[in-house]
Amino acid sequence: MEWYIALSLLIGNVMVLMFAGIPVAFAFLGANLMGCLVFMGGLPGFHQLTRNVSVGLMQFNLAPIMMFVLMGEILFETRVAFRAIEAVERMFARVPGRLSLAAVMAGSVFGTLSGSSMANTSLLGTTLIPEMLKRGYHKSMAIGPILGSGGIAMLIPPSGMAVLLGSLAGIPISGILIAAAIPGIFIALVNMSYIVGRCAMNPSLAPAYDVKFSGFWERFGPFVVYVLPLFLLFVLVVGSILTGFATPTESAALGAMGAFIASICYRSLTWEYFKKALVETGKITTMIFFIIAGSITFSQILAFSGATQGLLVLLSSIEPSPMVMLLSMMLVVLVLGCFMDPLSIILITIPFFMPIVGMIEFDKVWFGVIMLLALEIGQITPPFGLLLFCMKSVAPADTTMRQIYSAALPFILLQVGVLFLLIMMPPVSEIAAFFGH
Amino acid sequence: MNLALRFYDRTIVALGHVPGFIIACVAVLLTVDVLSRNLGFGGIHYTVDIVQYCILISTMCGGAWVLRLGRHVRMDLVTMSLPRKIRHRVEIGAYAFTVLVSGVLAYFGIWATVKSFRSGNMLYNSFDLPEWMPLAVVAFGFSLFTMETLRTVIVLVRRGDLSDTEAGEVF
Repeated sequence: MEWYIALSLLIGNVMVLMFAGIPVAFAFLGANLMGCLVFMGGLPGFHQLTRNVSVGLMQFNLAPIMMFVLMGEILFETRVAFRAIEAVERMFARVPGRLSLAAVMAGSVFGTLSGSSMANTSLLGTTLIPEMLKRGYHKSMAIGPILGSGGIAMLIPPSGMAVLLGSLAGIPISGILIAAAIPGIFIALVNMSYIVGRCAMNPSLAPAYDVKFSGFWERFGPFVVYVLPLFLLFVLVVGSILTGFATPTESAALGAMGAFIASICYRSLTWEYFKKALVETGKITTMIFFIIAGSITFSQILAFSGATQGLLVLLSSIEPSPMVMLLSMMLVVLVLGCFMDPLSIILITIPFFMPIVGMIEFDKVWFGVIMLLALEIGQITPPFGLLLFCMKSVAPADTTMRQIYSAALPFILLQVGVLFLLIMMPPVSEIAAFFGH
Repeated sequence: MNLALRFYDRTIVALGHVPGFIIACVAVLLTVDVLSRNLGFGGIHYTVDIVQYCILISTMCGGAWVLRLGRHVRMDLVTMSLPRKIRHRVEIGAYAFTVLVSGVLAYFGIWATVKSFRSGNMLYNSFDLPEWMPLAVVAFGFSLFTMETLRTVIVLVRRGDLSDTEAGEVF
């Protein structure tokens, strides 16, 4: 069978099954069964598939995912994260768009702690939007900054998605975790500048109001008490990798243990909260690992069918410039991001992208960072970006999808700008890659 | 019959708590390992292999329960835009297909386990383990998943939606 027929058959199958509402993991496994039937001689293929599912799941590289999820869940369930966000909010006073700025900063802080864009967006939406609307903020200035900073969780370490991308794509996990922090912080700064500028030009978007604090400690005390100590978790995770104290997997476990100890220190941990955090972590990781089991075997069948090799031979015969290749790959991610969740995009594209990255000799860490950023943008891109729906579920009932789309637009443009900056300016990417290595 | 169904139901729920327990144990194990290694007591030799087996066991134990909770990621963009009646049928079809896929994997998982048991294949890592053991976990996980998906299909056919039900109520 020609490679392009094999490719269309396998990819087409996955897409049709996914859009038919079959669980993503079983869309992959269903396409795998069909692949075994067509390319691996039926029964021997089925036999091999079950073995590959078992081998695909028994990977030490997958452990950080569950550790980072556990870390975020402990902080979320014990409400330590809520207190941190309230403390950040108090920091800003007499600045145009005070609460919007707090949303960006709190988004970056909680993103650092949770590593989950969905958790980040729903937490910020629940806690900050009612207050913003009560203060007369325009919906675009209440919703936009939260959408713009919700996805930062994917970039700032510890990021579960970065670990997943690293393990599936064979990118050094410590490298991608650290390198992705640079664009993450940069996006937060760009978002904040935009908010201050826009609110200074049009104060009606975020009406100023007096915030009365009786003293310095009342204003900054909660930040010192509830936020600064949590940065120790960041230091623990990233520092243990950089100093060689622990591997990325072990550092994730240290982070989870740190979150556990932090919640005890804040006297927030009860047996009920702890149990709930474990149960939620179990649900999320089981779901993710099932999808990974399906997708790993899918990429093996893609390679076995000759589809991957055929595509690479075709691309090398065309000889496009590396920049064109990179832009094309990011365009694919951005377009898919309008319709699919980041995990599915990673799983579908990585079997093709990584051989191309190898062929045109891109730095893998650099590519991983750019891909994460493109995935992050995809999450807030209309019509079907996941965070848009997440926002709809936590925003007031009268909020329309149209309002959410228009609120997201300026932040999408800002992030696309950062993406191009990262692609076009070698120094930025070299700095990222330098830190990454 | 009712007793068996109730047992099945309790088993699914009990197994659903296994991933959380395992994850907590893995966090402790990895922390103790890294601390003992850096404090000069030497690392725990079997950590990597134990964690790998834990990932497999926790995933296969929790799969059916996560399905019952409706937490397996699905793309419902297209199905949600369909008229209610057609959507209902498409949903039944989607779960029926999942039963088929899961059933085939369960069947071949059992087959692979038996074959490996007979041939005595071993996995040689930091500690040796018969290959049939992880294969049996896969077979067990997909068997449970098949039963649970079948239950979901029956609920959808009989009731029309997936409101909270226990196995005994469905059959």
